[in-house]
Amino acid sequence: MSRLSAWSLALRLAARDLRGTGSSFIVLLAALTLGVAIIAAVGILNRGVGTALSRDARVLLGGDVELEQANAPIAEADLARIVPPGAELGRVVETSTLATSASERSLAVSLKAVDGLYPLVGAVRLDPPLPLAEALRDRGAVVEPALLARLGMAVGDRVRVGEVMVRIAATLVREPDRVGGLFSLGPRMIVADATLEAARILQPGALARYEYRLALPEGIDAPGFVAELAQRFPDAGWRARSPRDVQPQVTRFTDRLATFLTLAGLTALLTGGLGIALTIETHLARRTATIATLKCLGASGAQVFRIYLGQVLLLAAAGTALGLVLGLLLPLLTRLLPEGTLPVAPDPGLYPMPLLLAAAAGLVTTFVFALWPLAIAREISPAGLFRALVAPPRRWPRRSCLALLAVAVLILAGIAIISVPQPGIGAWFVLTVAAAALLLWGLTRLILLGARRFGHKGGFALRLALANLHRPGSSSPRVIVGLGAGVTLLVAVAALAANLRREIADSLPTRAPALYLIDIQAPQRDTLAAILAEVPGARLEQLLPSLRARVVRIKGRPVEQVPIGSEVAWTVRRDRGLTYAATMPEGSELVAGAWWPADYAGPPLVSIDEEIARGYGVGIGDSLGFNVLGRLIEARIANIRREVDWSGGRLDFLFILDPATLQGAPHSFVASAGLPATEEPGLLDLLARRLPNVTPISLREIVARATELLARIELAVMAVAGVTLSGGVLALAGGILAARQRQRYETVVLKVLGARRAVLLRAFLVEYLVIGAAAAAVGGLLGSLAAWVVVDRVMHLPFSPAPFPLAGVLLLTVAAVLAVGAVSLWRLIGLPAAPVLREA
Amino acid sequence: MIELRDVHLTLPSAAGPVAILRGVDLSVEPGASVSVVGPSGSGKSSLMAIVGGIERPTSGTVRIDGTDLAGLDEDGLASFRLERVGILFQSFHLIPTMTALENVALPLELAGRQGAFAVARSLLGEVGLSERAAHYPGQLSGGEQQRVALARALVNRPRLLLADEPTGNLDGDTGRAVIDLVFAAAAARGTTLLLITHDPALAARCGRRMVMERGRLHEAAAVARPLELTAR
Repeated sequence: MSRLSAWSLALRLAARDLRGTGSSFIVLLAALTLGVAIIAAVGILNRGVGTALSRDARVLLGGDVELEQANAPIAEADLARIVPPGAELGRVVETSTLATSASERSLAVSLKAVDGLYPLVGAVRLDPPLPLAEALRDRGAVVEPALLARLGMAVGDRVRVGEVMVRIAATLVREPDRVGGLFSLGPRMIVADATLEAARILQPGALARYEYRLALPEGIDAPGFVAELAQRFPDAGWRARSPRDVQPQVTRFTDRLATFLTLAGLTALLTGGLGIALTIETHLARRTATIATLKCLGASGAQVFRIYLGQVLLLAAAGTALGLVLGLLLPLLTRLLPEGTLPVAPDPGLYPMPLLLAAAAGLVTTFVFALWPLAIAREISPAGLFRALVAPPRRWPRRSCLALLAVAVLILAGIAIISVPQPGIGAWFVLTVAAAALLLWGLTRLILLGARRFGHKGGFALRLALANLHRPGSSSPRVIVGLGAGVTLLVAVAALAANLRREIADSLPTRAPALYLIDIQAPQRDTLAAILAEVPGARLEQLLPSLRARVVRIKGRPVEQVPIGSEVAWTVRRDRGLTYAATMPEGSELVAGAWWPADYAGPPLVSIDEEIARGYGVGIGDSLGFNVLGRLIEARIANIRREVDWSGGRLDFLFILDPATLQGAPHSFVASAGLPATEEPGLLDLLARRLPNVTPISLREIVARATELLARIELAVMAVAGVTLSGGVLALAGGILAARQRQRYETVVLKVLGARRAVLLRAFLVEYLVIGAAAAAVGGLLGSLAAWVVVDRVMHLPFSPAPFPLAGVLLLTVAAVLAVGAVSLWRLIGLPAAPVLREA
Repeated sequence: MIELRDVHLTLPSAAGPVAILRGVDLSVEPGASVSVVGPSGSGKSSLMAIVGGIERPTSGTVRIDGTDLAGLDEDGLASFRLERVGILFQSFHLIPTMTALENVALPLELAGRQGAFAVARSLLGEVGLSERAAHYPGQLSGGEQQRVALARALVNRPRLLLADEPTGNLDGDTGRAVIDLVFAAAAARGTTLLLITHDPALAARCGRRMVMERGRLHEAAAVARPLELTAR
């Protein structure tokens, strides 16, 4: 028989054999549908975001090319050399400042000042629907609705910004060049250039970003133009971007999100896979006589294997197809999300690659989990039809099947790695899953060992329950592993969130300054000291010079040509803060080199952070080139400091230069101050009146924003962990179905022997209680361990156990298992004995 | 057709190895009908499993239709059964998810033969079940199920038909009707028949009668006690 006809026969017989199996495969179908749907939906959304980004990149960038420089405008002479004839040039300035309402309530806002050309591409939408130019005329401003809500204001009200009063003319419905995200310090306010100038916020050295948008004339290709600029101005203080550069920046965020969600889907698929294995095992156990008959009729082991593999593949195809349909529908739900939750609205469309990957993940997972029971079924002896006295069925599949299993596992690992946008994380995921599976299995084995050792103690119900845990062929170990995996994730997330919340909301305010102040001009330092002296309990903690600069050269080579570690790559993408100091800052520690003399006046020297040294691949004596306000400073690395510890909330800088090099450059100062919470409104008020250009940032505000953000992330992560747990619940359902036949028979025999229903109910409930408790114990232990690793080893924060969330998750697990078990037992207990005995 | 020489079978069990066949010799000519009677647990079914290539002996040689079964692996034995042996069980062992017609066609399909369903349909006609072709085993009476099983055992035109208590689960009249069909079909095809039974009257219908006792096989004539007692 040819291979093709062998498979066609196998599929035909497989389909026949499925008749009347009805609901037995619900668990398999549900597990597959769930996992495949999540993976497909996330993949489609991510592609949709990517497509929307490449379509809208020009609008998001605000033009064909954007030039961005920190702190100071690009010199007119330079602009004249840069802008090609026929191009349109628009300018946008972004900074942060304080907006104060008539009732003296202040709020940090993210201010954007635009010229008459804004937006060069795309359109601003306002409510009421005015043209932007009209709204911004005569000190007008448009703001995000959040600003009105938080200052208790309405459109038409006036608000003080720096030295001017601006009128809120409308709220912003759509800002074409803003990429949404999770976090920004203050709501957006857009004003005209002239308003910003009148507000006198932008003192020399103030923190601001100058963005020049170019609409190029026909025939000039934007990426080519940007590349040419990079060649012509290798050490420029500004950075040029074309629409092509927008996508990678946004996708760094969406890729991370998609990676995380895809892995959650895969985890759900894997824990659900245990349910799949149990379902198939139960099905094949019921087919023992059929398989033996087929073999008696002359079917070979390979034919039997093909028939049942064909059956599994038919079911897997159905579950996967359901999952794909759901995966196609789920992204439609994102339309219900508030605008700005995702960076851009995903482009709806049919993306074959994510669908293909999701389908492959579903089919291969089913194959991996089905292979073992299939390989055992292949070995069923036809002699079983003649008598009961046969050697027990083989526990290990033949070698060829084991090799096939190994290959399938490798393929699944490969799919896990390539189906996420960040393959490195995918690889870590594979290793973590392998380690977690081993740990889960090991812990479960330990529990079973305990059950075996102490199983003879206790009453009848407990003895029966413990014996059922470790009897041959018991499904309990896999149920414990599946549920344990879900519980592990939930416990880890709950413990992690509790620790972070405690750290941010409780610990941080006790050791961090209450207020940060930016954009302080040198002459204003005395005013600041005077203001602080007027407020009871207020004290200045740090006052440091602050400049913005871009790292443009490393060891004499342009940064673009230097391989930089991914953990510090962010430091070269944009301008960074730097400071100067005569002496080593308090609390710092050198790991290499020496600090310069306080009166040093030689060639520029720089002190860098240990992590930067590692990421850039530089050491003492190497040079770093900074573009400070258009001037290139090549500084030699004099020393390397231990990694900056940000947890105390101290102001610190990755780069510190010697004072002589920077003192002459225009710069501002940043400060931190301690003060009693009750005095904060008074101090803010004084600052707004006497130092209007200084932006105060309240730690209370940051903590409130961060806690809010944390709550959103926590909710999302919990939802994902919940999905993963549902994979575990499916494993439980698979286990319950697998145990049903045995429980049915046991129930009847025990009834015949005189056991009352209450006794039976108790015995089986104790069995579920033991399973639930074991899964909770395994998951609680591993989840706490995972949270400890993240908090203590990765985040370097103090870890403390979170007993309440832990107890909550564990109790919930046991209660859920008991509830599901009780429902499944209800009908079983009421069964009359005679029909079951006749069957047996 | 059947050549057994000093066949032993010992199986493992939880309580230790159990000797089931203890040196069985048997020689059967093609086309002959042989019955084996004996008490429960004497090894009758194991003998049949060995002749059908379902069980491997612990020692001894088994040649069926000129083929030494020791030289065949699992899949070789499966092909051997597919081509040359038909088996009839006491509990029918029809596949519950397949119709009568599909059950009968199954061996032909496994062998990859064309026109499996046409052949199966004519076999069902021979056993008088044309009208029941689309019924599932659960919708058939015991006698009907055994007739379907007979049609399935014969559909590949086997040279050897093994019947293990084929009437054991049937009432007297139904059992007789089925066994008439078995003998008639074997005679019409020249098929060798090895029949295992508890029923002396049924055993007597075979050309040759054997008795299995504690793992040893004797000609019925050589048994000292009356057949009725041992076969009960």
